[in-house]
Parts: sequence; structure tokens; C-alpha cells
Amino acid sequence: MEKKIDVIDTWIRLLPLILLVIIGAFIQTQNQYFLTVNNVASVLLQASSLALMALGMTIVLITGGIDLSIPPVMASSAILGVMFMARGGNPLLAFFIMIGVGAFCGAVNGFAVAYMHMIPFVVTLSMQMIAYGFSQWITNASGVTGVSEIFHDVALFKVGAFTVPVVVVVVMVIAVQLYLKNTYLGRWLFFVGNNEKMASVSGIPAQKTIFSAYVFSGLMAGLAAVVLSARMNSAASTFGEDTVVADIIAAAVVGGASTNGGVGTGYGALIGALFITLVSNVSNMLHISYNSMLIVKGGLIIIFVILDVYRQRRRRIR
Amino acid sequence: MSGIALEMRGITKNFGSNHVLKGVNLEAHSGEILALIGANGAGKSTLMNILCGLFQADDGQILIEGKEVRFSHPMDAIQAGIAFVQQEMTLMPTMSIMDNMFLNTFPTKCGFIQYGDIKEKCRESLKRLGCGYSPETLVGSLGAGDRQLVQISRALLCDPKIIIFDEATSSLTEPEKEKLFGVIEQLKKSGVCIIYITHMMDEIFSLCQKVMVLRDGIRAGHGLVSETKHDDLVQMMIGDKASELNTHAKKPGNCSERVLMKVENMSRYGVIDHISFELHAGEVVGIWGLMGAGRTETIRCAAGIDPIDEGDIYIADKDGQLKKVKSANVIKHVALITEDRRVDGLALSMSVKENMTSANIRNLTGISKLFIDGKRERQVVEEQVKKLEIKVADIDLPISSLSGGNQQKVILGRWIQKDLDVYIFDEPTRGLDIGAKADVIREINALAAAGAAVLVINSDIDELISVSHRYLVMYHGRITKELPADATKTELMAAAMDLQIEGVHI
Repeated sequence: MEKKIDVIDTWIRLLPLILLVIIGAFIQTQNQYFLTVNNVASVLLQASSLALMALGMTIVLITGGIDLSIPPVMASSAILGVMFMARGGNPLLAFFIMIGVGAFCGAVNGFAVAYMHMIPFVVTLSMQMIAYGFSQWITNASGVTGVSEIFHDVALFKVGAFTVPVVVVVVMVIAVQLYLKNTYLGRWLFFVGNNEKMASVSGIPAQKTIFSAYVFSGLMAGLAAVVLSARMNSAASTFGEDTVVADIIAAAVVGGASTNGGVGTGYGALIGALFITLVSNVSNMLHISYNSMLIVKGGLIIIFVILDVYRQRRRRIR
Repeated sequence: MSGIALEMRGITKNFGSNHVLKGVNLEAHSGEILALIGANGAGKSTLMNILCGLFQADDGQILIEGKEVRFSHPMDAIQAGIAFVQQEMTLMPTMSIMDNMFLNTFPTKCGFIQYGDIKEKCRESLKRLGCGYSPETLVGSLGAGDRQLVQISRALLCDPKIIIFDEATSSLTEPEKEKLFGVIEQLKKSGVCIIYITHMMDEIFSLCQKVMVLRDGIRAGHGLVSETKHDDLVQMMIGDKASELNTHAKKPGNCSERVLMKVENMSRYGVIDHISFELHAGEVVGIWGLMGAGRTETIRCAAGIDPIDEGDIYIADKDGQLKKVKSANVIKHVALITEDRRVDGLALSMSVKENMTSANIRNLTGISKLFIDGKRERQVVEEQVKKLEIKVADIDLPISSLSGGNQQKVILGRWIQKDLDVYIFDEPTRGLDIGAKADVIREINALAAAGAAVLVINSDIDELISVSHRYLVMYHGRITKELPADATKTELMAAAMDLQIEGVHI
């Protein structure tokens, strides 16, 4: 009954941050320019689209679901937006097209999961195939170019040393963190993910809450599409490759989100995304092959899921 | 009548400090149907589970045809010739009748199932029970009665000497029952010993030769059905009359005529049937009935947690006007404590504070109407912790670190802080220690005294009597009787079994 700080629990929670520091320190020993403002800004930009998608994934994971469709949905949004601009479309409208396509796909996922009581895994896997097929088909499996200059310049406008996407990510992380911890809607997400039946008995609109999580995830995919297409000055179906979803799940899980639902934070998603980005950078630096990196990332997901299960069990037994 | 098929001597079973069976004896003969009856929690299921090898007795002997046996596994019991036809359907709906029948006993040759053989066997045994279905029919497409027959034919496969029926008729229609009784009669004639667990008095008198009554883990009585009367059985089930006296000390309560909630012709097909009742300000209404009578289902529908097929629910607004409320919105206006708090009462890995404010968090916001006012939330929680005397060191600890009694109080606090008019409690004291029980009951009385309406289910008849101002008695999914505050245990028990008892005097 006495209040005690749980040492093991605290260490597990701090682990992502510790790993981030270790990997950062390691890169610094290899490359003395790593911790310069310019370089940090570029790593942040590099991690920004992953961070946005990891935020969306975290929200869905909190409700006890999963969204496997994020990368191809992001690719499709980017392709449609870029194609629109290539035909002389208004860049602002292109921005809204990207966001809108993402939100629409998220709404379809959310409707199927929340109101039709379908299994998130199956629903979002189907959406993943549909969106990937669509993006391949409409682009003939090649890239599309024609990002308007204004779109590119505004999206990558520098605020001090940092570009707009970095600022957007930071704002979004703070917003999500506040939403989760300090609003009643955020609290509802946790209840639904912890025990949906209990949420219903407490009068919480569980279905609407779950629906909103998938819409948010789609929105984040759209926002990531804006960032990535501006950075790449193009869009391609390869944005939505199978392995990207592994990066997103890895980022969310390393950031402390639980695949069992009911646990997750906004800042965790950012830390996770940075960590995964740095792992990729290290592997490039050390000339580790892309494929062996997949093994490492897959292993990371498993390790963090095990840690999470262990943590949950300790919490329940106590 | 032939010899003793089964004898159980001095069977004792404890679950922790809970003494479920206290040296129970049972004798059953071949070619005879023994009715086993008792109130909820009397120990019937435990006794039968021991006989089937699911539980091991702490003490006592089981003799089959005079030889002592020991079952450490259900398979041992099956081999000894004991078959159990369970109350709940234990069949797989997406598999065929023959797959279900041979589930654990597929005859194989070189590892391949001999479908030709079992199809014949299956057809034969179905025919024996007067069932004309093809063995390939999917179980899911059968009605409840035919599923029951499939369960029986599965039980008959291993040629049992003893068959136990647990509430075999609870989900059957009248013609299905007749058919089942025919099958049971036939089994009896072929020399099988049958133990028939039931709540239905008429079945005992029409079907069974002997009866045994369990009460609180002891054999309260046994004998020939032909020498027993209804009233005797009821008395045996509820025990000595003396213990009833003190429960009448209750005051009538200050019920007003003001209706706070009204339910009209509420039905959920196949579960509850045309339920209507009113709850008045200041009263505690107890729902009484036997297991499976539809009590929990009724209040879950009334609280809007389970959907209803028919009927209307009205709730009084602040001016006392009854307003019709859509089923899905009822939960916003009533408090609900569910039967099993671990299933749908608590978010176990969340904190005490979060669990306490789950139903009210939307109202605990600041000026923005979106952001939670953290200070106010803590204040509300601490107020309830103090009021309900919840033992918790820190309201940020996970709810799972509290004892059952304190968890239940957190749920109480969740609703009390909303200051609602209608409270619906399903087994609010189940599994609590005596102190916590008393606290919860005190709180129920306090709510009614403050002018709320409370609807409560409690399977412990003494506890129910100690709080209720009025009883709704349920039988087979319907409210069959309403009894006043001074109803006796005998009257309640008789009503729960849908009996008209005359001349029972306390």
C-alpha cells in the first residue's frame, strides 16, 4: 500500500531514451560533425515523416488496434497530390488532397473496425493491399514528378536552422501528448484500449472513439505524404513499401506504445522514430546491408514487445 | 429396482476458506432418476464436477457399483462410465454432428479417421433418440433441443452407467422437453442411473423417483419423490425458519410515489420477455430469481448495455418528468455496477483515479470543455475515497493493486460522484469480505434514503432481504411476481420456482 517508485518499470520506460543517447554518442565518435546544429536539423527532417506516421500508429495502438495501411495510404496520397500539381493544380489544394485522401482511407478503416466489428489486422491489411495496388497501377510502378516550386519551398521553408516539417512534428507531438494526457477524449482512448466493455459500461462512446483513432492515423499518413513528397520532389509507390510499416511499428513500440492496447505517448513516438532513423544511418555508415538491417529491426520489435508484456504483467500482479 | 450404481461418501471440498461441500453423501441406483436440487451456491455443481473428475475432493470416497474409484482427470470418469450432459452448449457450431459426437474419440486407422464407420454409428445413435438428421448436418443449424440431443448421444457413445443432466431443459421449448423426457425415460428403463439437476419442481414430480436437496454444502434432505411434498422441498432448500426472524427488522423505507425510471414491455428475444417495472424515489427494489432466470440480462438491457428488441425505457429528468430514452443513451443517466468487475467494471492497468472518474471525466473539464481539470479530478476522487473509506495509499496506483472490496468501492464512487437518480447493481457484494459487504450495503441504503432509486440483484437471499423494499421475482425471462417488503424467504423461494404455496406459515 505504500507509495514506491518501481525501479525496473522506470528503467524500461527510460530505455528508448537511453538507447537514443547511446546510438547518438556512437555516431558522434565516428563522425565529429554529427552533433552540429545543421546535421541534427537534417536528421530531424529525415525522421519527420516517420515520426508523423508513428504518432498515428501510436494512437491506434492505444485503442488496442493496429494500422498496417499507413505507408501505402501515404504513398497514394502523395502520388495523387503530386499528379494534381503536375497538371498545374493549386499547391494549397494539393496539400488538402493529400490530407483528405489519408483521412478518407483512415475513415474507411475506422468504420470497418469500430462499427462493423472487423479485426483491425485484417481490415488494415486489406487497405494496405488496395492502396499499394492503386499506387502501383496509377503510376505504372514508376515515380511521378512535378511538385510545384511553391509547394516545395513552403514545405521545406527554414525556421531558423530547422525546416517546417520539423516544426510541424514538434507541434504535433506536443498536441498529441496534451490530447492524450489532458483531455477527456484522450482518456477515452486509453479506456477503450484497456477494456472496451468497461468503457461502454462507463457510458464512453467506444465506437466513435475507435473510429477517430483510425481517422487520425490516416490524417498523419496524409501529412507525412506532404513532407515526403516535398523532400523527394516527387512521389512513388515505393514510399509505401512493406518494410516501411515495420519501421513505423518499430518506432511506436520502441517509443513505449503497447501492442496490447492502453499504453502509449506522443513523445515516445518521436523518440522511437529518431531511434529507428539513427539505426538506419548507422547501418549506412558501417556499410551494413539493407537486408541484415531488416533482421535487426524485426528483432527490435520483438524485444520491445517482450519488454512491454513483461511490464504489463508486473503491473497487474503487484 | 436394481442395486446401488453410485455412492459418494463424506465428500468435502474447500476453495480457500470457502467450504463448499461439508461431507456430502449421495446414493443413486441403476434404473432410477435422482433429482438433485438446491438454491444457487448450494454446491450442486461442485459435487457433480467432483464426480466427473473436473475437481478433486479434499476428503471422501466415491464408489461405483461398490468399488472405490479415484478420478484425477475427466477421462478417468468417462472410462468409469460416467457421462455429463452440461447445461451450456459445449458443441462447436461450425462442425458437423458426427464431428461433434466423436470429438475426442475418433476411431482411426493409421492415423486417418474412419468416417464411414462413425457415420453409421452416428446415424444409429441419432435414430435411437428419435432424431432424423444426417450426421453431416452442421450443429450450428440445429435448434436448442436437437443440440441437446446431440450432446446426449455424444454422452451415450461410451455406454455410460451413470448420466448427469445439468439443467437440461433450461433452453428447450415444450415439445423439445417432452422429447427429452421420453429419451430419459428410455435410458432409465435400460438400466442407466440418472442424476437430474433442476430448478423446476414439476419436472421433479413428473420425472424423478428420488430427490436429494443440498443446502450450503450439506445434504439437507433426501427420499422418495412420492413421499415428498412441494413445501417440504422448499423448506429443505432454505433451511431453518429461525434465521428468518431477524431479517424482518427492516424499516419500510421512505418510498415516494415519484417514478424515477420506468421500463415498459422490454424484450430481448430468447433472453427476456416483456419486462415492465417502475422504480420510485427512495426505494430499493430487489430482483430475485434462480440462476438463469434472466436477472442479469434484465438489468443489462434496462441500463442500455445490451441491445433490446422491443420496449421503451423512460427516465425522469430534473423536473421529474418521465422522458423516453433511447436504449444506447440510458447509461448516461443511470449508474451500473456489473456482475463481474474484472470483465467490464475496471480498466485493470489504469490508475485508481482514472477508474474512479471514467464515467464522469467529460464533466471534469476546465473552461475549455476539452482539457481535464486535474485539480478538480483529484479533489473529486479524494472526496469519494474519504467518503467510502477506500484504503488506498495513492490514487495514482493501478487499480489492480487494491483488494476486491476497495475496487468495488471505487466503482461505487465512480457513480456516486455523478449524483444520479437511478442506481442498478448486479451482485454488488459478490466476493467481498464481510466488512466491505457491510459498507456496500450501507451505501445502498444511504442512496435510497437520499431519494435515489436502487435496483439490485443479490443471490444471497439474506442480503437481498436486508436491503429491499420490494421484490420483482423472475422466472424464465419474465417477471412473474411482485412481492412486498415483508415477503418471507419461503415466499421468495416459492415464487422463484413459480409455485403457488398455500398454508406455509412461518
